[in-house]
Amino acid sequence: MTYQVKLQHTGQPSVTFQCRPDQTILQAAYDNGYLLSSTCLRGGCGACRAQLIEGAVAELAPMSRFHCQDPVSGEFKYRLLCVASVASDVVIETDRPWQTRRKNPLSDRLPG
Amino acid sequence: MGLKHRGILRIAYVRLGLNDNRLTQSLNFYRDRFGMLESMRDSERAYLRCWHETFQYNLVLEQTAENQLIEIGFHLRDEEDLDQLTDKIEAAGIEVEQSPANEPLKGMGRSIAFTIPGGQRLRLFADMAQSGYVTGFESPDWVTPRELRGTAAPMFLNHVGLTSADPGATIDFLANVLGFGLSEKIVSEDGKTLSGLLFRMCRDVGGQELAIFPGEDGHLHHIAFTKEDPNDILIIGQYLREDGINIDAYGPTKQSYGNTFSLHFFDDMGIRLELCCGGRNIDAHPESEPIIWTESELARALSYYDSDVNPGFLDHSL
Repeated sequence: MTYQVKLQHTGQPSVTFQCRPDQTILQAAYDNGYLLSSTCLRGGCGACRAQLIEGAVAELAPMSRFHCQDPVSGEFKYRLLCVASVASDVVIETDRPWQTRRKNPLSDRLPG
Repeated sequence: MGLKHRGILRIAYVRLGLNDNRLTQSLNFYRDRFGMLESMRDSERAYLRCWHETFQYNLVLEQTAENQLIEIGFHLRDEEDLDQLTDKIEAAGIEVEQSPANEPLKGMGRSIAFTIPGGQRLRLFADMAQSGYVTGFESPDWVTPRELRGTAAPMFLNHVGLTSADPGATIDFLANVLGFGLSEKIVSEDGKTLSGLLFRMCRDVGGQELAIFPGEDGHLHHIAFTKEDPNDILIIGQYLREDGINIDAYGPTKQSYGNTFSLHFFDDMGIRLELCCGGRNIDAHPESEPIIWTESELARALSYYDSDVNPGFLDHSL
């Protein structure tokens, strides 16, 4: 079973891909050729934080509550995609732009 | 009772052609800053060797109309091997050019040259003049010669990386016709060979003399030289940086593919060089099997500490 993830970020065309409930949204994005900002990969540093616009996410591991808060208002605003998975189809606004990556960088070098 | 190994014994040299009076510029780099020794020089060419090398040259630089990889030289055991390999290469439908001793390069016995399926030219020979160790053979001081300290001072030519539009066919030729062993390879999800590391068919320390990567035919990906250990490479990386050398996309790293500790950087002409140490010790039993990496593990294969591939690293450099 998979759910659809739609990623958006201001100034960047949105992208969609499928994510399984047993993998993180960050990993599903990577597997589909999108390299999201990330550092610790343990729900701690907040480099991968994003807002959930629609749908529901599941936490595969605890998230730093500090990094889920809006730095000014303190409201619970962000999810950390390195430990978040999908509980439904979701629309997510990332805090930072993502990069595209080649899924098969060696195969792509073969002619034809 | 020694092992009666025949055929290719060692990678001997890389011969590069450089345009626009770059001979002086390249000598300035390879001799004065990279730390190779100038063995011979004539009006056309400069011959350089690593300080731990006993034969006369590992790198030949000459002036050509365009920058190019001219050829890679491999040293055979004897003349009988040269004749046998000539027959095998011709039987594979590849044209073989015969050259007399001292042509085109000095200090070499008679040789053959041919183009492999990937488009690069190789030269095979059985005899090359020896210079002997810089340290001498008698009770040597096995330390970097005083005059080379502070440079990269590579010990040996280690391996050469090439690009090929059909890596599988190139690897098959090198293994089946020239007798290289395959120590490692990278395959796509559907099993197609994308890259391979080839070693000469005897017990091997380092595990590779040629590395084949996918890309345009006929190009050079990198030239790798041997250093003693990672500590050496880390310190030399600082000297290179101090000297304004451009370090490649990965910094010093463990390359799981081949299991070396490596640093890649660019010479003054934009050619990618590698300093490496370690590498897999291969026991070339006929039944030994290559390590196989899948493309999905490429990031871990190329740099163990990195979580994604630096695409620029896959570009050829000459």
